[in-house]
Amino acid sequence: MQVFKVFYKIVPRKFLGVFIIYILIFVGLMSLFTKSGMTQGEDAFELSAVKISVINKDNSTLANGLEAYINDISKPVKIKTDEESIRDALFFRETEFIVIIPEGFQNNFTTLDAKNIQTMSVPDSMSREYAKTIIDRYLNTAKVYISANPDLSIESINEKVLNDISSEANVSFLDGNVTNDMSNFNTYFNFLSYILIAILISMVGRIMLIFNDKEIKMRNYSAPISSKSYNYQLIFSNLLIAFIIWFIFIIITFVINGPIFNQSSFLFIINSFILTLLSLSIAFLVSTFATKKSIDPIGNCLSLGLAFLGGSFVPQALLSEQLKTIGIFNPIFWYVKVNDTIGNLAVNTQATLEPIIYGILVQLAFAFAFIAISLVIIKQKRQSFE
Amino acid sequence: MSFHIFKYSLKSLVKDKKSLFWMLFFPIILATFFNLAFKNLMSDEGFEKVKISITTDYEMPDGLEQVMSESNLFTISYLTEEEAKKRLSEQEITGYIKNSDGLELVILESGLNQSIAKVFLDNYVQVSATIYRVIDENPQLIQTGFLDTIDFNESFTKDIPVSQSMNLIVVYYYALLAMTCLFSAIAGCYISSIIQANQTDLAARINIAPTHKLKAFLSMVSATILFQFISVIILMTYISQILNVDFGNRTIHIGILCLVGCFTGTLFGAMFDCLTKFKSEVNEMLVSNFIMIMSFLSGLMVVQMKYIIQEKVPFIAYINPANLITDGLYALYYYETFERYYLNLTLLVVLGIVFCIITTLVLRRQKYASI
Repeated sequence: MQVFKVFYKIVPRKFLGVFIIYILIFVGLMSLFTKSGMTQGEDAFELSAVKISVINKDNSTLANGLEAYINDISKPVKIKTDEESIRDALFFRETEFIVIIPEGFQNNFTTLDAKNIQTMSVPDSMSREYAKTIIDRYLNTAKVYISANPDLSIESINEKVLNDISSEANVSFLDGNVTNDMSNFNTYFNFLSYILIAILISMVGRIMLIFNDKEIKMRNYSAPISSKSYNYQLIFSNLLIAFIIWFIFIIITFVINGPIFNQSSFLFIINSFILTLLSLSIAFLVSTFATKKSIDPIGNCLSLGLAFLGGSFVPQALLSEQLKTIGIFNPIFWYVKVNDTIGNLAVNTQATLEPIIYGILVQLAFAFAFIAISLVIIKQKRQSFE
Repeated sequence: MSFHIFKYSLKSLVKDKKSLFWMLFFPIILATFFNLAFKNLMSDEGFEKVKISITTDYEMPDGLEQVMSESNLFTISYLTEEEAKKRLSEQEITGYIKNSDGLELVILESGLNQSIAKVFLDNYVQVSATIYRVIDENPQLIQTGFLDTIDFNESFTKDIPVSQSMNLIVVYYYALLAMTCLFSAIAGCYISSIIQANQTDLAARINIAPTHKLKAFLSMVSATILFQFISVIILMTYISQILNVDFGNRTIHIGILCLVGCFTGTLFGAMFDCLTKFKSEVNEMLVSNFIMIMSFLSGLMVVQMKYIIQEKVPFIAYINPANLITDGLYALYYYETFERYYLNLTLLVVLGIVFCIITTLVLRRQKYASI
């Protein structure tokens, strides 16, 4: 067990810091992501909430009624009201639509020039049309009541409008489409692919570099220990550390997202385990040709590149067509694809499980291919060594 | 300034593969990734008509179809309910409308398109309700032709044009440029380790030479700034010409900002190394992590981060050089006026000068009786 012992002497001394930094970054980013994600209800229709900020300069009954109505139907965002803050908020999509109700709005409402609610929005966006519809609906109804009965007080008009507006058209879902809300899990596990590769390359890859050092290797080979046992111990140590890292991340999953145990979360975990094996094989491959100086750049580029091109950060549906075609050669692409399939899993039948199993098999094939290539490289190096 | 030292500093920077990678190739690779990943990201924001089907199996209420086509919000197709179901399950349409027991919208999942359709139908139902109620209350209105005068399609809003430059993605590239400028800190760190004789052998050699220390220091700093500025220019050309990201046409302003960014970055690294007493590799690692954190806070990884910091802790936004660079570029892109740009530029210069003063105060008059 000497090799194993040495391996686990190196880990806490050299890599605990790296590991903790990665975990902190990951947990920070993930809790940010999952908090910003919207959760959807089970089978009830929810109006998409456009982020609208109302700046009410009038404070009359009508203006307040409109503001209350908008806030009720949308996702109200409070922003600072100076010009620069408004524009910044809009640019960073903190809010999508800004409504400025001018002073004297109620008094001028019945006069001809009523078109004086100022709005600011991202040009030509979907949410703009939606927000406009909401505002116009309220005001048009109010106007009808006013012109029908000019003596009515604004309060009672407001009440009537709200009453009318509360009647709705029916909405139903096409049968058999009960999606369980696993979007948080989905985002989390997609993002995990980046962190796992980065961690495993920077930890396992570097440890392997130490063992691959020419002089250390010579020393080790001269020890009275068979090379078979030497290699098995190395493989076992690598697998164990990958397993530990994976296990920690699974625990973090449930800490961040809450304890949800169902078939989907189970499948996510299985898929992430496959990813761990895959990342380990990638790290192993990298360690065969990288040097102490080049492993950082290579690790960075590989982890970022595979993750970006595989859709870990940006949803795969939004990737360009070319990228999707190239993605076939990217193991992370398959991993994310399986995750997305699990996330959208509606009814668990044989038919829906098939693409998941297929995707997992493809990942395993990649892992085997990487290991095979690295074994070839190791063998070649050893021959030239001897 | 000593041209000799300047020349050799520059040469050693170009020949050092590690610095070449981090200062030039890494940002270019990152930019390529951004480009590949974000290409389609913003395209879904544009308004597209909602595809909706009207089932032909039922009688539709009066005027609904007319209002729908007048609204310019929908692409309407007419299908039987069977066909509509099939199209919907293939997600070719957003939903279909049937009128079996009151108006009903059938959809697959919640979303913005679905909401628009829903709100529109709600509107239709509500308008009917309103009209019935008005007539209920004052039946004489029918005679006065009141119904002809009402208009439910009046618009009460007036758009204030914001800017056509609303592409959020550019901030990623700006943050990337900021990171590249500030990566000069790693070289800055190296400079200060080769100017303090107690740190490296090279520094001891340089200190023996009769060149004034400040002179040598400044020559190295300018070499680093030049080197970094060139790589920023290469990166910018790459992003704007090959990746076709719009930087606007204020190239000179962008250039000045980046140059100052390189200056501040280099001196930040130099100051960091003077103040701490770690080994130079540890220092370089710390500095690069520090810069990554600054870049993160200015939106390199999650673009909204920049806004959050700016709103919640504006103090950090104003002392974070990465954010100053990003914000300056953003101001050039988004605002017509230059005030915000100059504010950022000034703050960046001030920061750089502060770093410079601290560094010189620490470095000056250091004498080594023995090393």
